[in-house]
Amino acid sequence: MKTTISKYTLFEYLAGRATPLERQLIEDWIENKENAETFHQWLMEFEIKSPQFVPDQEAAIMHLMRRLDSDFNPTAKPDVAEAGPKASFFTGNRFWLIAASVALLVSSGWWFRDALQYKSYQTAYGQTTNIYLEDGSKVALNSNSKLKIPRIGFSGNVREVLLEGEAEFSVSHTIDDKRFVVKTSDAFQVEVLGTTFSVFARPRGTKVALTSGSVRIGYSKDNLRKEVMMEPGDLAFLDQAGDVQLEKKQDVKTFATWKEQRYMFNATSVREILAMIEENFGQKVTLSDSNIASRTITGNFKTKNANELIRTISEVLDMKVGQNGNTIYLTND
Amino acid sequence: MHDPLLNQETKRSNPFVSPVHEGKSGPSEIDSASFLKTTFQENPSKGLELLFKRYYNPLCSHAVRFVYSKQIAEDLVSEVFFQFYRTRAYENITSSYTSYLFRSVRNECYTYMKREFGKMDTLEVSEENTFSTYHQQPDAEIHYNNLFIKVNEVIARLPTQCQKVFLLSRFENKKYHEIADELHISPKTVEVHISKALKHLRSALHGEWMISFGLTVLSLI
Repeated sequence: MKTTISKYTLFEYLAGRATPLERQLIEDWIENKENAETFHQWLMEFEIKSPQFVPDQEAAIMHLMRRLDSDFNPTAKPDVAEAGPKASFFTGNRFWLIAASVALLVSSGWWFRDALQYKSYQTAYGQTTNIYLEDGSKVALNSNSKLKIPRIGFSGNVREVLLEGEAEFSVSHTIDDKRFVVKTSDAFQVEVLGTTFSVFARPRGTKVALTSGSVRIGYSKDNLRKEVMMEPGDLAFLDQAGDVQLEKKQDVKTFATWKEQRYMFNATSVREILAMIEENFGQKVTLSDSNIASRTITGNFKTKNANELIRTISEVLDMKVGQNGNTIYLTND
Repeated sequence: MHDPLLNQETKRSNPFVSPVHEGKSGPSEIDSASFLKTTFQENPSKGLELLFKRYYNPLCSHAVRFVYSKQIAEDLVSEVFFQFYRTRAYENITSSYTSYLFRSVRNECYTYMKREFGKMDTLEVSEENTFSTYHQQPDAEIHYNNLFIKVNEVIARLPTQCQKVFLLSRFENKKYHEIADELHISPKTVEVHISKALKHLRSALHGEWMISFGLTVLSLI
């Protein structure tokens, strides 16, 4: 009998939560030697996902290196001959070895740094999702966006996450006033204690809208660190010159309506709407007449897919929708 | 509880697990494995470093499910890495690194638990070859799973205070008098709690070694 087991079922089994019948199925699956690799791979993922504790890796590797060093030392053990010429690396002086291992540690740590340290969530085109962080904060991630959070929880005195794309953050305040930092690049970050705000960080530009609480934006321009404080209702955006501009008293609630698959346009240009469709749905739309791009639309649209939105817009503009391969184009009647 | 007989893919976990995460262990896994392999050929000690960085934490996390002691878990995992390097096992490894390391660690944990909680059978222990993981029965994996799941069940079922004392002593490696101070109880009570926990473990795990003996016999035939 051929059985396939989902990763989820295996995780439940490993956590001791499988029913006796599920257990039987999984045991049959494991017994099949062909599944051994998959089983170990998932076991590893399970341990990364729900670690039982965090060992002191650096101390452990130093200890191991020292042990190997003394093991390969000819005065300590006779079996060095068996180890062959490669062992000569270890017969050198100990200080050098430790120094080298520290250097290796640093460099190899760098190599796997990202994958080890961060867990990433990625949304596909047209898909939005909610992510609940361990500190009680909530992140609504818009489509075609990526959020990276530390794998082993927030350590140190800063809660730091990395964002590419667009997300709304509801940050909960911690007892020890731990700052929450959203980094969008090395040069731009948003810092808060507890508040609700959305961040837009796409190639087209970077924007931050604040709903409640207070936020500090830190950015660097010409290698200078700069700061801007935001108040509720403020919309901040990074301008062409690399400076952050503030627009006061904006209707910032409309900024993250994508959470409910709702799009609110307030005298928004067609150019901007089409750019948004491409960002969120991966659908490129071209116009037969470039003058149309500067026309504006005001309204509230609820949609789950790009086609519906494009059709609605074409009706408003009184245009025809055509398709050529993957590209959708709008033409005058 | 869904019907296990239907054998459907249960996707009620987190809905936001992205396509990037799900099942895309393929290419990157192969890439890093071949990278590790090349490194082992060119500079074994660097290969060991990389392997260690990547696997030490998850392996320790797994080992601790069996032994319930940070210290012992780390020692067992380090031992596996030590032997892996010393015996130059990396030169003729046929499975993936993940598979090899997890199998070795699980086997180490099992052997350790048997020595610590099983009946002392001198003959069996002395004949134990700790790194004979290659020719194991496929059922061994299931057996390892049953063991750590059982250990967790037993510890979860202990009365609250008993469990607390046991974890402080075993997992945190604290001294009896330290635990007594921390929980405001007498050292004698600490002792009673610990021996009670150990007794529970021993009796619950008793059956495990019996099955394993059957397995050993079977594999000899």
